[in-house]
Amino acid sequence: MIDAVILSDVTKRFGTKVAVNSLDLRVRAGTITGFLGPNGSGKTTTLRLITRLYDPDEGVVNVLGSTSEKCASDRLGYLPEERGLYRSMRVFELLTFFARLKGVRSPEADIRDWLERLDLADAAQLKVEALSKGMAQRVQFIAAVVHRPILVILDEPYSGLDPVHAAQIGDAIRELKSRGSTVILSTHDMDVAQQMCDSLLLIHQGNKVLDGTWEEVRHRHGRLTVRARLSGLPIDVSRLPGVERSVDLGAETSITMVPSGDPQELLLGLQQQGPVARFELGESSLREIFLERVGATRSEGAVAGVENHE
Amino acid sequence: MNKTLLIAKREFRAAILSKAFLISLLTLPIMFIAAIGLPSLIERFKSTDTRRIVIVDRTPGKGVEAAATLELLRDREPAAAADVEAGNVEAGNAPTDLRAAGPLARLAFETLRGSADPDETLKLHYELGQRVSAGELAAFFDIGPAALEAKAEDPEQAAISYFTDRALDRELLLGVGANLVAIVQLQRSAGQNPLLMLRKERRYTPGEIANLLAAAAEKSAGALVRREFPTSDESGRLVPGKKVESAFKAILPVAAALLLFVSVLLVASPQLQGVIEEKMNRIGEVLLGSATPFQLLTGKLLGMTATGLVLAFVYGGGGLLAARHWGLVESIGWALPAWFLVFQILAMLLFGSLFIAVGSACNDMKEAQNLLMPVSILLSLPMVFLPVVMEDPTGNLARAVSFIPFGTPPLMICRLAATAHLPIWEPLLGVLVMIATTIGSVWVASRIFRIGYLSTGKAPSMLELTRWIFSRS
Repeated sequence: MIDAVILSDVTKRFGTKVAVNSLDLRVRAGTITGFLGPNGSGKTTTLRLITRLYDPDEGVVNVLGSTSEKCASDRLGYLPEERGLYRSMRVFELLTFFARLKGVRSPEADIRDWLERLDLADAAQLKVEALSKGMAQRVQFIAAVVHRPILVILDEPYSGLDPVHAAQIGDAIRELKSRGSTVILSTHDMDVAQQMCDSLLLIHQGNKVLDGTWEEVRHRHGRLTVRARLSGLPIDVSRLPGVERSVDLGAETSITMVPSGDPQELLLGLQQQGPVARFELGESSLREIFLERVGATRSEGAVAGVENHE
Repeated sequence: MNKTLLIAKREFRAAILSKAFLISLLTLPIMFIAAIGLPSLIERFKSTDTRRIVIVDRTPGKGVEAAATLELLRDREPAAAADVEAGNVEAGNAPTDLRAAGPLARLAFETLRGSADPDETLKLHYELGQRVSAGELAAFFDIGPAALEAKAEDPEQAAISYFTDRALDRELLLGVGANLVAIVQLQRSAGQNPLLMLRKERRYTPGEIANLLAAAAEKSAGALVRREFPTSDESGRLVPGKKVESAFKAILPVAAALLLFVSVLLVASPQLQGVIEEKMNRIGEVLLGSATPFQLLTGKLLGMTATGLVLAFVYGGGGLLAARHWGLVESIGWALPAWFLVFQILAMLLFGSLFIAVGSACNDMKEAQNLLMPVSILLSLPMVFLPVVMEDPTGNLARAVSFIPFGTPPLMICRLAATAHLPIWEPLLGVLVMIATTIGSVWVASRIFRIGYLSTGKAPSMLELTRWIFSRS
């Protein structure tokens, strides 16, 4: 099986609102795919279509080679964005219940291993309501993967985690991939997506905005960027050759170049205005591509929201 | 099936280990015990001071000797008798041991002879009223001058009046009032008794009246007893019908119907809350990633039914043990508990599915209360027919209402408990009606559940719910 998930021309509406619009998507088996998009863009709806929690209004959803509308699948692991745990159950009892519900007859040893690995061994007999946010998130992660699923869907798995435990979860996700599982990772953390994901999908207002590997995305949508510091009076750099847009950062100016822009011409243009104290050439980060593709005005609000969320 | 049972097991464990269940399990017995035990407990805290009652006797001659007769009656009350025997009662005073005593126990009586003159009587009543206001007297009675006449011209003159400043006084009404009426009636009838001809006045003595009242009140002789119809045994010999505890027989149908109603309500309500909580905590998303909506719904229903059975076993079993203790278990038989179980299970599934459907469509209890209204009406409306069904369990009205699906469980149980002569086809047809209704109800619930469980935003209207039921996805 080359593709673990195939969405063909899939549309999902809620009343008059189109949450997902004619979406085509392929997730290659054995990869980590990052789902990106501002809040309310249709990411979670797409994930629910893949988990078969929702049926599409139009189009075909093929998951692990099946287009069956039966939503339950023991080969699938799902971590929802908001924690889905019974507050009055004890951690070990809860994980056993979820694992058995996925068809695992004796999950106890695997549960113990995971609890040990994610520093939760001492919390095994605690009630969920007594756990901290980060502990509950790790318990939810175990519930999603303890039955060794072929396809793992993680909606904001790093939510509420400190850097140490976030790194643990990152290692666990990479291990799932090395075991052959396909991982779909929905996140607002662009650095994580850039570093961890084999391919990326950006959704905005229910439409696919971009997809491909990071190299492909950078090649198609990336720009040369320049971080410049000028010693003289402030100047309007946007009129210089090859400049698409610029942002005044105070002491420095961030410049994004048009695809055909020549940095040498830009440097020459800057030097004609005055002495240049710093001229650092770089490439667009995923964050910058995200902002550009989603649209500066719309995305600023969304990213602010993202940062708050994180 | 395994997933359904797994969900059922979790639901059952979560329900019976919850505080709400333990509280609901204890609530009814506590209320029952309180209803029985509280009045006698309150009685213990009542004042034990002696209350003085004056009886103004305006009948001619030596009067009816009411005070002397009442004192005799009082001293014969069981709790007072021991006191009297031990010589603890001084003349004219109430006995000292008043706990668990009869209504006369803490009363002391004084007779004042009055005249037929209205002005004098008015003056006397005024003075006695002052004594009542001052707390010296508890109340006073007035026996009219014509009270002993067989046919008094003026009923007012023949009346027995009483004066008190209390709103309600059980001792005055039951203890003095009722006995005083009986005393006057007996003394009136004494005029017709030829055996009293030789007496100066044809009156009974206080002792005779006390004896007559005691004989009339004796329960062991001439009591009304309800019996079962005679039956014939295998050899064709007729067997007399058993004695029926009529009070128990009257309570049993209502108790059985109420037990069924209460157990559904006590279990279904927390289940509804649980579904809302699952929905709000996004547990539903995880569960539906592992089980189909139908597996989830049926698992919940089975868990809930098992919880309801525990409740019914505890209450019903407790009731049966109590009935056995008092020798009443034969009045119940074994068919009734068996039918009860069948109807209990069907009622749990029927109403449980609707409660779960409502929970899945709502985001909080406030929304749920609005949508729950029609379900609550379906659940409680049959209880309105209980008196009719009890009075004539084999009548056409009782038969008709017990086949209306949502009312079948409590009303059929009520009929089965009220009469032993219900044709077997009736409860069997009731079961079939309920099975058909339950299948329909679970289908409707599953249609609502599969959409409602993942929906957010405001609760759907009835029209939207109908659309959910018939929509493809």
